[in-house]
Amino acid sequence: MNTELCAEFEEHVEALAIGELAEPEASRLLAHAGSCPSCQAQLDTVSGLVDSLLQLTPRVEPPAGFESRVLGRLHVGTSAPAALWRSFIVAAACIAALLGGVALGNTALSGADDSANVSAGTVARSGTIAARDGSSLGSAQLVSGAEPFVLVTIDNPTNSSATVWCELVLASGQSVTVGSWGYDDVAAGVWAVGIDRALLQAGDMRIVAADGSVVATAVLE
Amino acid sequence: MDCDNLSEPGERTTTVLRTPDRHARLSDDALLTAVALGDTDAIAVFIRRFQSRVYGLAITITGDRALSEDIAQLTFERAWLHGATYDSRRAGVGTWLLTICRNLAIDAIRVRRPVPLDPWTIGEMLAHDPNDLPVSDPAENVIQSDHVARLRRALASLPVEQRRAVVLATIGGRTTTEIGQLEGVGVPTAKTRLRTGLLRLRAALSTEVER
Repeated sequence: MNTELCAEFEEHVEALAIGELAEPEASRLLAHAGSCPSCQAQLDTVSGLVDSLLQLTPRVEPPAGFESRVLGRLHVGTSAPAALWRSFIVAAACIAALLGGVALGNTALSGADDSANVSAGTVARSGTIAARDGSSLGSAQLVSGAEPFVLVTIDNPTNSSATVWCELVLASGQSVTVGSWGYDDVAAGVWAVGIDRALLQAGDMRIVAADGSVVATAVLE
Repeated sequence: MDCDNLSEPGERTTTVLRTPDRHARLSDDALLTAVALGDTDAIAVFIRRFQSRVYGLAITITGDRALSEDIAQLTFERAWLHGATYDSRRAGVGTWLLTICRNLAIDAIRVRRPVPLDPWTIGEMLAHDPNDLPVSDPAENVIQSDHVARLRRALASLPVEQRRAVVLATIGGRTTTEIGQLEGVGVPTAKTRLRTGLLRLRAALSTEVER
């Protein structure tokens, strides 16, 4: 704790929180907060208050076509940009980290941001995805939480034009198709989709080809 | 579970649970996770859910429609690129997104400030119905609506000069120098109004929570 710096920090904490303080003062005081829990707490409080006030922002509908222009800007619907892959990989790695170290393929983990965090819930059931010859292809997790989802990791995605379907099988024998993927969807080694809560009880997962044949299975425990 | 989602063994029903309707029912957190995973349906729903708030903030700060659209577009681009770094422990998705927008808008107006802001315009805007919130998640709306109502009450409890200083600095993106000019007072007075206003606001919110 540095009393002089703390006093200076207190003097400028509102300016820091509203983004008014110019450089290099801002960086100097933020560096101090990084090593002073008391000043950091003060900044967090004021910043939290400033941020929460943004909820009072008046709503104004943007001009017609706004959504399309944003999607166009993101190049959604065309080939996936590098940024998409990065966010895809990072998000998957974040979810995996929260799941307690799910093994993603090396490709999927590269570039992941360790400090990132995404609300993900806990693993209700998991299992190894096995090919028909018994070899391991990856893993599957059913993740509970506010919005349950299934997370599939593929250790070595194969470049193929084929689409496969993911089915979850309940104890009653009923199967539910939760989604499908092609190579572009899993090139980074991971695929996820939201599921109904009842499907957290599924005991098996089946990966099914277009002709209906089961190409891989996972026993979920 | 909705029986429409069931299929008989061997029957091929594709992507039943990835429709836009499905995404529209997702919580803000789950929707952002889907956006970060590159789900194109989720991105469209995400934009629709937040566009009026993001654009509303941009235009409140800049007063310029064309510039505000650029800022709003860039805000969604940043969210798409950095959605995976969102930390739900720090703020709600809406607040996180609006913070991105606010920072972009402030950067923009510091380069060029198209229209001087009238503090009374913001005050008038704040008089809007606090229940005017998204309809995507009714349960979440109740919580948000309650929080917004508490914020409004706490803000309303401040002396008017402090209230204007707080609103101009936060939602309006103004510096204390600019607040001083708008209000016809010196910078030290503007700083004091902002500081005291934030302190009182915090105290008022604490009192609200204890009720």
